Amino acid sequence: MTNSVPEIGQYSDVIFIIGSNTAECHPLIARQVIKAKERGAKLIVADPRLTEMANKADIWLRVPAGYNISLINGLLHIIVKENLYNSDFVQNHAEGFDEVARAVEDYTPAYVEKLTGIPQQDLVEAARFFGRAKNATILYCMGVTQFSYGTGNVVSLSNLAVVTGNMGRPGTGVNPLRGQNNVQGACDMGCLSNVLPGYLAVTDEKNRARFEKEWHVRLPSKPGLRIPEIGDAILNGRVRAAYVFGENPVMSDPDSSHLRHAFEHLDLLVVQDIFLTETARLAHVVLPAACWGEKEGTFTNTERRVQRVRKAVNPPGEARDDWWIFSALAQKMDYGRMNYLHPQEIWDEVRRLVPEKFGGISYDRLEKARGISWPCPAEDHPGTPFLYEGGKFATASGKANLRPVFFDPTRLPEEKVKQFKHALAGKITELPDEEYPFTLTTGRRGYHYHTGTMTRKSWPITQVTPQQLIEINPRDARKLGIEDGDFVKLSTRRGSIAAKAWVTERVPEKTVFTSFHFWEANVNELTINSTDPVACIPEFKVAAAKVEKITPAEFQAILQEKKKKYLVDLEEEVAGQSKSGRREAHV
Amino acid sequence: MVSCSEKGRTERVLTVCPYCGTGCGLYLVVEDGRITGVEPDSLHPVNEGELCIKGYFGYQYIEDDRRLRSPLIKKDGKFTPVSWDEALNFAAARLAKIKQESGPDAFALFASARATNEENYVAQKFARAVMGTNNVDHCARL
Amino acid sequence: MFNRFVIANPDRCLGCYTCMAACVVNHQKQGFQAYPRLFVTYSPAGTMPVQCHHCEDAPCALVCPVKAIEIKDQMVKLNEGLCIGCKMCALACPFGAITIQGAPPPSVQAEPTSLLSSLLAWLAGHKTIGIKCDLCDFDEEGPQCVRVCPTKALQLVEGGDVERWSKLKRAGAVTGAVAIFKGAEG
Repeated sequence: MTNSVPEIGQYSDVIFIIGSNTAECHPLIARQVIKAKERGAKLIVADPRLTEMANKADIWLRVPAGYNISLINGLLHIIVKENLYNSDFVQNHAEGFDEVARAVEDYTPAYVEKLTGIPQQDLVEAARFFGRAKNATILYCMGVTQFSYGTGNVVSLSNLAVVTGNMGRPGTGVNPLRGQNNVQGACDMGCLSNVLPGYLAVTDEKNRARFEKEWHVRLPSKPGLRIPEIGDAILNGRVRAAYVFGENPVMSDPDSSHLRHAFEHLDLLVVQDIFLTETARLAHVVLPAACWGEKEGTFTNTERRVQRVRKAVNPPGEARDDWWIFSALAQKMDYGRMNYLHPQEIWDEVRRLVPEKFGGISYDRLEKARGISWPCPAEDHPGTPFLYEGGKFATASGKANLRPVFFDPTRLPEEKVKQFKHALAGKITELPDEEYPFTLTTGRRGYHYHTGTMTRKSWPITQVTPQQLIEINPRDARKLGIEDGDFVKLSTRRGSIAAKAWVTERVPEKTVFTSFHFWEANVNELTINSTDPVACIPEFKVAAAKVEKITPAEFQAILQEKKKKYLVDLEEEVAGQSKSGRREAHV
Repeated sequence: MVSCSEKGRTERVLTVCPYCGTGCGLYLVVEDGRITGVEPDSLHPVNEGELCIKGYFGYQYIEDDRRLRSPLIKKDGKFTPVSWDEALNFAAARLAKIKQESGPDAFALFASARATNEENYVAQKFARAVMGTNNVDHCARL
Repeated sequence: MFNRFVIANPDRCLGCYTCMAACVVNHQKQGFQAYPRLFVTYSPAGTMPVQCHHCEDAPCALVCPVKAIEIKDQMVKLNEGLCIGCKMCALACPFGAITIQGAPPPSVQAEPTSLLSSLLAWLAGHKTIGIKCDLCDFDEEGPQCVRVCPTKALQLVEGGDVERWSKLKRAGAVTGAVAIFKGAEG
């Protein structure tokens, strides 16, 4: 996030939530939105589903899944036309305004209505709220990024924030709500194929030299493979060994059957985890890891706030901290610069190597503070809750770069792109057709988490929400003879799953929604591995699908198939082997 | 719901929720070496003394009987518990062999958005410094 | 005397299910059935958990054939030990706040003699009984759903509250009437 979470409740007077089911996926951020609303802030929500935030919105823009760019360009069109943009900010702190203004000329409210079905009046009103706000903030999530043109979506949002001058002040900004406890931290620490810790490009010799000195090795200069590319790389023989820790790609990656098939071809699969996950069941070697509550360290939340996590109990049996396992393995492979004794030593190495971001964030300071937001270069630096103060951006010119973005659902608007410098464009990879007439969109539910490895083993949660549901609009359900609670089969060109139907107005007509929490019906068997050319993020949010009503007996048959496919019994079997050895007392 | 019992030793350990990216502050209530509950951190600026369902009740998996307790190697298609030494030697030998035969880029590491900063730092260092490849990525990509 | 009940403000409810899980845990600890006694309910009009209103002339208590439901301590209480699982209360409840669920509660196992003969049980050792909100009256902290709600959407309404709200509404009505007459004069 460019800004911090408490600023929403305190300063924002217009909140624009797009592609984020905040109430379910980030309830404590949604709480800040409610706080702001009770203070008088206006809430605009763009989402195909009637989420709880949409339900509470002053204006709900029911944008069809995939059409964000049209909507945002439409808002920009009105803001430019009605002179609601911040001309000072645009002049002094941005580059490319004229290009963007010219690019959104075609996106009139009438055109946007034709494309998306959003009533013109709603769009105009939303643009006026946003344009006239003192402090407008944008909150977005995977409903913006998980497209083959996700980068374009994000750039459109930053255009909107910059054009209206909503950057560099409390309660403003472009704020991705990150989905995992430490997804920010894993990126910060260089767990990306193109950057070293601190987002230092691997291709830059100076950056490599910084780490080579400390690590005593020559580092590779070529960016590595990105996750969506690994399946094919295994199948064509380029990758022979994979090491997976704390991730369950067999459940969480798009078109998961393809990746699973690839994993079965590996010469070596090492999985390091806390349970025998669906991925671990395919491994040659499984290494037991300590989990949260059993180890020391730091997490970095969505606001860039680095926080201490602490050990409360001992790990079970022989389970070890992940850092210990990597260190021990490195020593077995004769690498001597990874002999750590405590996470603090590792963190101090990070601080030493990337002082410009983390230098001032010491364990000592974290002992007292409720986290410190990076960049924090020195021990006497307070940290940076919001970025770009005074409109100073992290670009060569110090100004924000605006870039035109175009969208056409059916074909890439290439001729448009050619007319502009640095323009981006997108189209939907797989549109509904006669055979697959529904748009399938995916996401999480409030009460479970990702592949269910943890929440499905926490009984109070499973007790209130035990099973997968497929959301379908009442009109579609009626046409297909489906009643609430009937079993349905949901298929795409990549596979099919079966679960109970939830007949609800939450989804628009001709759209179905479900989650990836349950192996019994994992929607990622259906999603498409079509990726963004810049970020390589897959298009989880739109695929063409069909829905059929099935009998309970047919459902049972499919369930048995899935049980075999995911080797479900293996987990109990292995757990049975090592049930000895109770947890030792806390030290 | 979360009440500190009178009998036995009770401790409250301040930490951060392991679920979404909001990063709410919470206390783990530990009684006799077991986690028995969760209390929200009222001084945390983000969650201000409140938590959601996962924060309050999502910790039970820690004590689940199915937790992995020993390294396993698949022998003749069946997972067999082995010592750390055996598991690490096995992995190290195979990794070294593959690196020698097919080069460093025949290795790929999936890092974890769920683990700590320190662990992720060490993981990518392992991929880059030990294996010699930039094939390290994680689900932030997804 | 007034009755007491828990009610949610749909403007604040996030539909996050925290209340339901807290309800399950608190009752399980007490040896009651580990099922939620309130239900987050989505509707295009708004979302909130629905639970027992502890009606003063409770239809559930009127139809219960074994007097397992009684009105006392300003609330409607269901004795899980006496319940025979006939489902009449669930049918009679105007809010759909009573469910019939099925595992034997430990308290019943401990006192089998307190049971009337259960003609409707269909599997030995596994009977269904009515489950409803008891305002966590065994817990001095009060209803746990109210305590854990992250947006404080839930509140316990007691007699004095209704009176206070009514006074506020009457004051508002006066202001409105004054405005109308002033408008008519002007």
